[in-house]
Amino acid sequence: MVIYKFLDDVDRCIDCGGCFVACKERNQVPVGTSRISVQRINEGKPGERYVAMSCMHCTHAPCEQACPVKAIWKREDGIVLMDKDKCIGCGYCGWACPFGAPKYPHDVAKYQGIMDKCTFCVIPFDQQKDAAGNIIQTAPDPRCVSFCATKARLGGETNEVTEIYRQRAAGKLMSRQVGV
Amino acid sequence: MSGNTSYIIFTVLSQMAVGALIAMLIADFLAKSKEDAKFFETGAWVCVPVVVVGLIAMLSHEARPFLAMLTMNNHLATSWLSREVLALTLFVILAVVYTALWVCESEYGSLRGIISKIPVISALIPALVKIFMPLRKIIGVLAAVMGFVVYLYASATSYMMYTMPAWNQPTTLLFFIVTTLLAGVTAVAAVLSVKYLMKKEADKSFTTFLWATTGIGVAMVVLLAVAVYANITMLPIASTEMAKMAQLATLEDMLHGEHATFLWLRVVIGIGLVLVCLVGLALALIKKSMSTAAILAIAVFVFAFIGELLGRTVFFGSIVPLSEVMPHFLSIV
Repeated sequence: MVIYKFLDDVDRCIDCGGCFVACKERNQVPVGTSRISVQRINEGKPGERYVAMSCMHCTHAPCEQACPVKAIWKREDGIVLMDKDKCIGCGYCGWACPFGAPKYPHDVAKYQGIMDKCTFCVIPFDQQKDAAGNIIQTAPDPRCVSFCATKARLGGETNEVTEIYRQRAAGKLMSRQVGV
Repeated sequence: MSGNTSYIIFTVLSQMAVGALIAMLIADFLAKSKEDAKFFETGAWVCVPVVVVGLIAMLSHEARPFLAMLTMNNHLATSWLSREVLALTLFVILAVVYTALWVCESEYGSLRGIISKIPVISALIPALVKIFMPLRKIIGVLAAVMGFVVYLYASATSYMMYTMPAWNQPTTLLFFIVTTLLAGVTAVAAVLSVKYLMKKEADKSFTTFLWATTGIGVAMVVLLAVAVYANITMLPIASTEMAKMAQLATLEDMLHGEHATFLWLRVVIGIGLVLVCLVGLALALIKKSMSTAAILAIAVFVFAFIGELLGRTVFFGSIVPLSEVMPHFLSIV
């Protein structure tokens, strides 16, 4: 079974903001909110690093368990989604999320105070439903991953992503051992 | 209403309402005559209005309040928030019935006059009250158990999540218990004290009620002092490095940040002044100076209420979630 995950290679991120822009464009995320952000650590000091933060589509998603109205659910392929029509904007998923992924835009008229988060580019910000009332979903194609110039943001099928990360980690270890 | 303000008002008032109901239950058992019950009846007006204001505050921070009312207990399987809402709903239902049995009572209920003038309910309500009156204490005990045991536990557990390390410790439950019994019981004592000061007549049962209030108050102040001390000194104890980082950041804000003033004001007002007034109340009761005792009972409630609001401001305001320290942790992995 295919399971989708994100993985960030902090050593490669240069804080170009490409993932942020690509996500905004792909999902039509309005001004005042975002589905991904780049956090700066030790800014202006030795050891400055950048960490892209978004929903990591947890295996045991605490937001899904916390949501009192069952607005959040997990697909069989591991992607955690939410229905904006069910959300009441209580903010409890935001407390439960260890990555601070859920956001509650208050200056977006249609979804004021309603939670929004990364959907692996499956559902845009303004969700649409078909005649049967199901949210229209597209194939997983995370634009933050395809747009990342340094390939710091990895995303896709879990085995492929972890294999890339494993090879990079092995490469770093080898570099240290030979003093390169 | 901003997020923190609504949380502060909702949690303090809903817990206070539970305490107010417990106080009325104590009064129910203390009342030996119709005169006693007539005097205590005024205190029954505290619980329901207080919890209603709390519920309005809670719903005011939801983006869709009406949808929230209908669906918030939809996820009982895993969501502690759903369980908390269900427990609170059951408590409110029981509290409304219990309060109705006080205020609609045919001999001393303050609504009996109004009920008799409304044609449709003038026969129905007294008949229902007559049927359920023998069950009043049982309903009160059920409401108290639902509020104090089920609701408080669900409420505290809904905040004690691993992503909020500073809340994820037993002090959260202790704080909620203190708000319930200190602010709630003294609220009823204060209302009855105002009634006493206005009418200057009360039986021995009121004195016994104030003694009970004093005992509960002293016990809660001691518990609060322990909880605040534990909260400050035990915050760095955490199961993971990340949680420790978040707890230390919370501690830094509590002791030296923008919430430090609230914390120390809470200690001075919510513990110090309340304790002084409780000692004064006990001395006044020993000297049988009821007017002084009544004034001090009101003072205890005012300081306890202010202290709890300050404490809850620190509770919600100074919290540093795991998500804020997560980037730091990920950057060093």
